[in-house]
Amino acid sequence: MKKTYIIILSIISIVLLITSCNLDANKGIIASIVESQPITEIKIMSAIGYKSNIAYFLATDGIYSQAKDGSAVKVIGNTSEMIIREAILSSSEDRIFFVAQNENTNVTEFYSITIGGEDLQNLNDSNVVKLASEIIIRKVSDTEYSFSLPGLPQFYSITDVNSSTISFLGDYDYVSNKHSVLVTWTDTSNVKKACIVRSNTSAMPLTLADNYNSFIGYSIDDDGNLAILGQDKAIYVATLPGAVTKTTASISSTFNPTGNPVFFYDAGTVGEGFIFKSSSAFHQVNAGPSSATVASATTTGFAKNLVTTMPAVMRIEPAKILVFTYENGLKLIDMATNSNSSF
Amino acid sequence: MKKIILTLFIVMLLATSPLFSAELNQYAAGDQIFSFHAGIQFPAFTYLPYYTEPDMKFLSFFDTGFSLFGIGSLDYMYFTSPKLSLGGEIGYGFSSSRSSNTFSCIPLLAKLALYPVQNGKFDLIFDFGVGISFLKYTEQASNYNGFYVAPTISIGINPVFYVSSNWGIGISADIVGFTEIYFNEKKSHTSITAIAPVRLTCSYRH
Repeated sequence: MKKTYIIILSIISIVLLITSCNLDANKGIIASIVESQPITEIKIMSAIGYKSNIAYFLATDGIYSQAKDGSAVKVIGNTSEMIIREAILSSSEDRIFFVAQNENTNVTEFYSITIGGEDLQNLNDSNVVKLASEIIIRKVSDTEYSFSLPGLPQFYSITDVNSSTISFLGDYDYVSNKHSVLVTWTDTSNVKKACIVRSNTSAMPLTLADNYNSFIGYSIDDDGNLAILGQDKAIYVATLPGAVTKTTASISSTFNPTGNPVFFYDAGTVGEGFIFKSSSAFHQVNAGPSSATVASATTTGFAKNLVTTMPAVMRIEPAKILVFTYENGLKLIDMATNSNSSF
Repeated sequence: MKKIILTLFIVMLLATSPLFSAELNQYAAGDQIFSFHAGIQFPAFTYLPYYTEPDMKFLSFFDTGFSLFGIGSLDYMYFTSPKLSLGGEIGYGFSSSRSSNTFSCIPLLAKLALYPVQNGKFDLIFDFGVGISFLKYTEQASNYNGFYVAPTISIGINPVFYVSSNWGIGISADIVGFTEIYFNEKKSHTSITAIAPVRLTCSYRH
C-alpha cells in the first residue's frame, strides 16, 4: 500500500511540475478576469467630436452625445433608409455632418443635423467619400480628391491619384484645435505618396522613407512632431514639414498593433512622448525628429483596464486623453496622475 | 458565505449527535461509490501577490470579477479500508466575467476521502483532492484567448443520506484552490484563486 501511495504522489508531482508552465496565454487568465470591464449596450464605432465638455460619437445604432459625468443621449438613430456610416462635428456651426446609406437602394447621401438632433437636412452632395477629423473629403474626379471644412470651399486637393490605393487616417487634437487627416496613396505612375491635411486649413505633402509600410495610426504634437505606427510594427517619425523616416525602434513581435489610438502627451508622472496600443498592452515611446525608443509595455496606471477595442482617442487637455471604447463607454486618461476614469 | 459556514456548522452538529453516532463500519476494502454532483460555486478570493496595483492584490467574492459558477462533476471512490477511500473526480465549471465573457474550468483531481461517521443511513465524508484544472478564458474585445493548466487542491465536507441500501443524496461544500504561475514579465499575473462549490450529490454504493 505504501508503494501505491508513493507512485500516486510521484505522478501528481510530475504533473504539477509540467503544468506549472504557461502553455499559451500571453497574460494571466485570472488577471484578465480581474481587469474585465462591464459591457455597455451602446457600441461605439468612431469619434465625431468634442465641444464644451460634451463628446459626440457614432455607435452601431446612431449618433450620440455624452456630457462629462452624464449619460449618452441619442442625437439621431439609424433607420433602414439611413444607416449612418461616418460623421464629423462642425464646432463653428454646432452641427453634425454625416454620410448615410439607404439600405434598400444602396444610395449614399450626405446630411447635416444640429447637435441637439434637430433640423435634419439632405445636402445632396454625392461627391463626399470620407469624413474625418472635422474635414470633408470629396472625390472630384477619378484621380482628384479635395479637402474642405463644412460650409466652406475646398482649401486643398491632391491629383494624379490611383483611387483604389487611397486611404485615410484621422487624428483629433482639441488642445491645438488642429485636427488632421493622414492621406496615403500611390499615383498613376505607381509612386507612393502621402500628405497631412489639417482642420486649420493647412496642408503639406510628406516626404516618405523609401521603405515605408502601411500606416495604421499616427499623431502630431504641438511642436509639429509626427509619429506614425506602421503595420510592420515599426515607428516612423518626422518634424513637419521634414521627411518621414523609419526609426530603428519597433514593438516586440509578440504585440500586435491595433491601429489608432496613437496619442501624444506632454506632461505627467510618466514624462513626455507618445503612446500607442497593441492588442495586449499600451506602449510608451520616447521619440525625436529622427529616432525613437520604445519603453516597456504597460497594462497598469493610465492603461489599467483599458486594453480593449477602442476606435478613437482625442486629446482634450495637454495631459488628458478622451478614449472611445467599443463596448466599455467613454474613459478619460490623465497622464498627470497616470490613471484613468470614466468620462 | 455566512450561509455556507452556517450550513457546515449544522451538518457538523448533526454528525456528532446521537442519531448519527453509531460506530458501525458500513464499508469494507473493495467497496466502491460513484457520485454525481451539480450545483453552484461562489468566488471566494483571488490573490495576485506580484500585481502592480496595490488595491487589486487581494480581492474577495464578486470583486474578483467572477459571477456565480455552475458546476457539475463525477467522482469514483474505492475503499482501501472501512474508513478510507481513494479515487478521482472530473468536473466542468463555468462562470462569466464582468464583460460577460465565459470562463471555463475542468478540474481533474485525485481524491482521498475519510468516513469518520457512517451508520448505514448516513455518511459524513471529509475529502481532499489534488490535481490539475484546465482553465480557459476568451475576451473578444481585447483579443485575449487564454488557456492554462493550473495546479489545484480541494478540501470539502459531504454529508450523504442513504434512501436505500445503495442510493444516497447529500450536499457537499468545498473550497477549491488553483494557481497560475508566471515568470519574468508576466510574473505580476501570478495568482491564487479560491472558489467555494456548494453541490447536491447523488451517490451509488456497492
